[in-house]
Amino acid sequence: MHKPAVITYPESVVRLKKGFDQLADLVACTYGPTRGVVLYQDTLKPQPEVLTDAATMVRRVTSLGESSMDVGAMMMRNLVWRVRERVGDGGATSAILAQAIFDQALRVCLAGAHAVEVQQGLRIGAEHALRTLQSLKQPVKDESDLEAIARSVTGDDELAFMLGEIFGILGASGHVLIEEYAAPYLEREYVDGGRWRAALVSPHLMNSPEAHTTGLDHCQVALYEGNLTEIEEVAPLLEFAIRCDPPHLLLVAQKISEDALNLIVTTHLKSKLKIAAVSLERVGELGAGDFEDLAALTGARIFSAKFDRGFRSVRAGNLGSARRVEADLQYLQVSGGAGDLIEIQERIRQLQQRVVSLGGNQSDLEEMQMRLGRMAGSMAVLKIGAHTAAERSALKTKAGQGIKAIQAALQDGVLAGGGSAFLRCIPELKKLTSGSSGLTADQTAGVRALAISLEAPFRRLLANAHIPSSGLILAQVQQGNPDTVFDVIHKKLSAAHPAGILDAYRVLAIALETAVSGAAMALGTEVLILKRKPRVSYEP
Amino acid sequence: MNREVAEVRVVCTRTGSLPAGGVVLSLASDEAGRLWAGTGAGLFHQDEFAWRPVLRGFPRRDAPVIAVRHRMILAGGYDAVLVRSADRGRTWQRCAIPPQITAITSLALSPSFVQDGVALAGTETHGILRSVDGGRSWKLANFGLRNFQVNALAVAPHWQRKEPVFAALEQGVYYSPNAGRAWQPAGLVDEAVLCLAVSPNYWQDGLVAAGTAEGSVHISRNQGRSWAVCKPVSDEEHPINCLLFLSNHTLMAGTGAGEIFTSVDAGVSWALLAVLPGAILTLAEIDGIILAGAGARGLFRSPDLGSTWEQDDTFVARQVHSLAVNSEQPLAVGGMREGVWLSEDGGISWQEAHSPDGEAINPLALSWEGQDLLAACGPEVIRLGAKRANFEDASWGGEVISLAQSSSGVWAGAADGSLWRKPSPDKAWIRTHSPCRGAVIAIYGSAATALESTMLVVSRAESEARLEFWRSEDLGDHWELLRVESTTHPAVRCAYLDRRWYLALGSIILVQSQDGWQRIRISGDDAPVLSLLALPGVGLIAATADRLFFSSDVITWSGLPCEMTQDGIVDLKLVSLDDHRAQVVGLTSNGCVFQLAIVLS
Repeated sequence: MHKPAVITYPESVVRLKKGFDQLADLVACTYGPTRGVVLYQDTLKPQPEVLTDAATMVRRVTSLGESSMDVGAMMMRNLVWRVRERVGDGGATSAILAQAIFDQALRVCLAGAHAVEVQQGLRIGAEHALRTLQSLKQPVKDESDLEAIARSVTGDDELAFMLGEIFGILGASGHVLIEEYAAPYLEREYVDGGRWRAALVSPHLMNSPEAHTTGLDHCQVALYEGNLTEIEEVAPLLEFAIRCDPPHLLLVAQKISEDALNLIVTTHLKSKLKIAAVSLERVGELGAGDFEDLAALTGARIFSAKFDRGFRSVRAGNLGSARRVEADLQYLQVSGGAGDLIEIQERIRQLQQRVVSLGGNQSDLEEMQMRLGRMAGSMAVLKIGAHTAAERSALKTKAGQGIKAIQAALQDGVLAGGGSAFLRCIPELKKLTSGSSGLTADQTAGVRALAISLEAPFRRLLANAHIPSSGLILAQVQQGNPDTVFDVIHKKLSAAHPAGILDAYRVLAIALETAVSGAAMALGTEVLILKRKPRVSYEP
Repeated sequence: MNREVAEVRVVCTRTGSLPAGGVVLSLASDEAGRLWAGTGAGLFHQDEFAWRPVLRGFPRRDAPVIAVRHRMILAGGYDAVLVRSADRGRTWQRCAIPPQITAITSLALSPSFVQDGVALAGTETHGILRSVDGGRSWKLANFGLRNFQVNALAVAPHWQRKEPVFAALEQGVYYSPNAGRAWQPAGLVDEAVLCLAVSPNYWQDGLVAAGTAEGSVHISRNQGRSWAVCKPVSDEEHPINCLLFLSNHTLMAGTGAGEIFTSVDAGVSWALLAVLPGAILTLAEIDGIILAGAGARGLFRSPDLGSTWEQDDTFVARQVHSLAVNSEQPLAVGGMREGVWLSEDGGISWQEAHSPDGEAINPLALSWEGQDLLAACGPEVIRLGAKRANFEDASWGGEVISLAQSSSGVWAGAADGSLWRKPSPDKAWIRTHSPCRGAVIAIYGSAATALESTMLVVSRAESEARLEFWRSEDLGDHWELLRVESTTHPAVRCAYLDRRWYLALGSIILVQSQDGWQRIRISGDDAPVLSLLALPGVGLIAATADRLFFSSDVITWSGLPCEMTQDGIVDLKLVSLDDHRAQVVGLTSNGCVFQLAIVLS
C-alpha cells in the first residue's frame, strides 16, 4: 500500500500557487488585441496547433509534471473553462484577476491575516465591484458595438464584422447556426422564418428535382405527432386539402410510410393538390418541442397517434397555414406562418424565461436559443470556410465564443473595454477600506487585495503590447470619464464606443465572480493530499 | 398539289414604319457605350443608324427591366422569365428562377458585379430574388421583408465592407446592409414607394431619395436611417415614377404626368424643367446626355441637362402583332398596348384610330369585314368604319381574344371558350356551338380559299397547359378534334394549304401525313415561328424572329434573303398571287411595314 503525500500549510498554498501562476502566466499572454500565439505540439500530430484563446490553451494542459503544482494548475484550468462555457469569453481576464487576487491575498495571509476573513473581504469587495460595473453598463448602441465585442473576443476582423452584422439584423433573440463551408472564406445566410431538421419523404414530391427541393406558396399545414402508414389515416386530410385555394399542403409527421406514403405521392403526381410531406428528424422531447413550435407558428393543431389515429377527424380550423414552405432532404423551412401573434409572443417570452433559468446548462441553453430564434423568425447560418481544416476549426471555435459574447452584450449591455471598467471599481473599494464600513482589519485587507488586483488586467494588456510606464497611463484612464480607455494598438487614450474597445458586462461580471471564487478557494487551502502512483514492477 | 417551283426570288422593300414611340421602362449602356432599352416590345439596342430589337436567341417577347454591366445583360419582365447574356447580347440563356415567380419588376447589379456576380431582382408578388453566380441561378432572399411587392431596387455606387442596397416596396423602403442577404425596414411604411435613387456620393453625403405614388419625394441624409419629406415637387399629386441623381449631384424626378423636375439642393427646392408628352417611366444619364422614356411616346434626349428635349425619331418599339389586309382598304396594324394604326398609302404614313369614346384601341386581334375593320379588345369588339367607330352589340360570354374571316362571315372566339359568328355586316352576332373547353386563342378560316369550308380553332386551358386544335369541314356545324398538344409555348400559328392544316408550335411545324403527325423543325436554332403564311398551290412561308423561310413541300425549308428580318417579322399577309408572283405585306416587331415580292419560276 502506497501512502499519499500530505503537504500542509503554508507549504501547501505556496506549491498550489506555483501551478496556479504557471498556467495563469501562460493564459495571460493571450489577453488583449496584441495577444501572442501559443504553439502546441501533440506527439501524435505532425504539425503544431496554433492556440490563441485561453480556454483551448488550458484544455491542452493536463499536467505540469509535478503533482503538487498540478493541483493549482487544474484549479486554474477549471476556472478558465468555466468562464468560457458560460459566456464564451473572459477566460484570460478571469485567470489574470484570479492570479492577482490570490497573490495579493496570500501575501496578507502569510503576514498573519486570517484566511477566512480575507476571503470574506474578497467577496464583499466583489459585490461592490459588481455593483459598480452594473451602474456603468450601457445598452448596445448599434452593430458597430457588436462588432467591437466580437473583435475583442475573436481577434478576427472579418469574423467580427460578420457577427456584428448578423446580430445587428437578428437582435437579441437571434439564433446562429455555425456550418463548415467549402469555400475559403466566410459567408452568412439568413433563414426567413423557422427551420427544422426534417426530410422530404419521397423524391417524387420535389418540384425542383435538380435542386432536390420542393417549395410551396400559401399552403395549408397539417401536423401529426406519430407515424402515418394507412390510407385511412391520410385520405380525409388530402380530400380536405384539395378543396383549399391554392391546393397546397405541408404535412409534417414523425414518419410516413407504406400505403399512406403511396397515396400522398400518387395524389401529388396525379391531382391538382401539391404536397410537401416531411418527417421530422428529432424524436422524444426535442421532437415534441419541434411540433409545438410548428403548431404555434402556423396555427395548426397537432394530431397525434395517441388520440386521433390519423387525420380521420380533420376539419376546418385544424390546419395551419404558411406563406411559403421549402423542404429538402435535410431541412424544412417555414416562412410567414399564420399562427396567432399574441400566442407567438407569449411563447417567445416563455422561452426567454427558460433561457434565463437554465443558467449554465449549455446544451439546453443552445436548444432554447435555437427555438427562440425560429419562433422570432430570426435565424442565420454562419458558414465558416478557410484554407485548411485547422484554420476552419479554429474559426469555428472563435465564432462560437463571439456569438456567446455578443448575446451576453445584447442581453446585459456593454462596458468600456481594455480593463478600464475594472479600474472604475477601485474607488468604490477604496471607500470600503476607509474604516467607516464596519469591516474587520482582515476583511479590509481582503477588499484592499481585490482593489489592487483589479488593476492587473489593465497592466497586463499594456505589458502584452510592450508599453512601459503603465502606472502613468493607468492614472490617466482613472482620471478620465467613464468612457475613457487606452487603445494599445494606437497607443493613445480614446473614447470606448468610437474606438470600438468594449466588453460585454456579463463577461466581465462572470470573469470577476469566478476569479474571486477561484482565488478564495485556493487561499483557503490548508492541506494538499497527493495520491502517488504505485510503482510498477516488471520482476516475475 | 403544289406546283413545281424551281426557283424563288424575293424582293423586299421597306415601306415605312409607325411613328417613333414605344414604352421604355429601363435604359442602360454597356462597356462599349452602346445603349440598351428595355421596352414592352422587347429588348432594343442602338446601332450606328437606328434602334434594333434583339432577336437572335432572345427567348422573350417583352423585356421592360434590364440591367447592364460591362458585357453582361440581364433582362426580365412580366412573364416570369429572366434571361442573361454574357457577351453583349450575342447569345442568351434563360436563368433558373423559382417556379412560383410571376413577374420581374426591377433589377440591380452589384457595383463589383464582374468580381462577385451578385445580382438582385424585385418581383411583383414574391419579394426579392438574389443571384451570386452572375445571374445563372436565383433564390428568394426575403429575410426581414414584411411586404413582397417590389417596385424598385437601388444599390450604393460602390460597396465597401458594407454592401448597401435599398428596395422600394408597396409599403415602405427596406435596407440591406449586406448585398441583399437580409433586409430591414428603413421607413416610409405607409407609403407606396415607386422609385429610389442613391447619390453617387453616397458614402460622403449619405443621400437616398424615394418617390411615392402619392407624388411626394422623401430624402434621407443618413444612408436611409431616417427620412424627411421634401417640399412638394408639383401642386398636382402625380406619382413620382423615377428619380435620378445626375453626375453633377442634381436630383431629377419624373412624374406620371410627363413632368421632369430638378433639385440642385437635394430636394429642398424643385424647378420644373420640362413636360414631355407621356408619363416619365425612366430616366438615365449616359455620357452626359439625359434620356427619358415618356409613356408610349418613346425616347427623348436632352443634351443640356434637361433644358431642352427632343424625341429620338429612330426609336420605334411599338408592340404590334396583328396586320389586317384588305385589297380595297387601308393597311391596318395593331397591338395590345399600341393601338390600331391605319395607312392609306401602303404603309408610308400612319394615323391612329380611336374608339367611339375617343380612347385608344388596344386590340388583341384584327379582321376586316367588308369595308369595316373589327378590333377585338377583350370586353369589347369595335367596328371601325370609314366614317365612324362603333361598339359591336353582343353579349360576349367572356373577353373576345380572337377574330377571323371565313367564307361564312366573321368569327370571334372568347376567353370562356364560346364561339361567335356574324354572317354578314348587317346581321347580328350569333353564338354558335363551340367544342372548346378553354379560351379560344386563334381562329383560322378559309377566306383565302373561298370555295372551301374548312375552319380551325385553337383553344388553351391555362390550368392544363394544353392546346386543342378543332377542325370543322362544314363552317362550324360540326367539330372534330384534330390534335392535342401539351405546351405552354405562347406562339401558335396555323396555315391551310393543299387541303391540310399545318400547325406551328414554337420552333416545330406539325404536319399531318398518312403515318400520323410529323414534327418538322425548320431551323436549327430553336427560334419560334412567329408567322406562317400559305401561298396556295405554291408552298409555305415561315418567319422566325430573325429569319424567313420557304418550303414547297413543307419538309425541306430554305432561307429567303430579307433585310427586314433584323427587325423581327411578326406577321405576314398575302395580298395577291398569280402564276409568277406572290405579293406579301409584312409587319416587324417594332412597327415597320414592308412589301415582299416573291417571284416564282
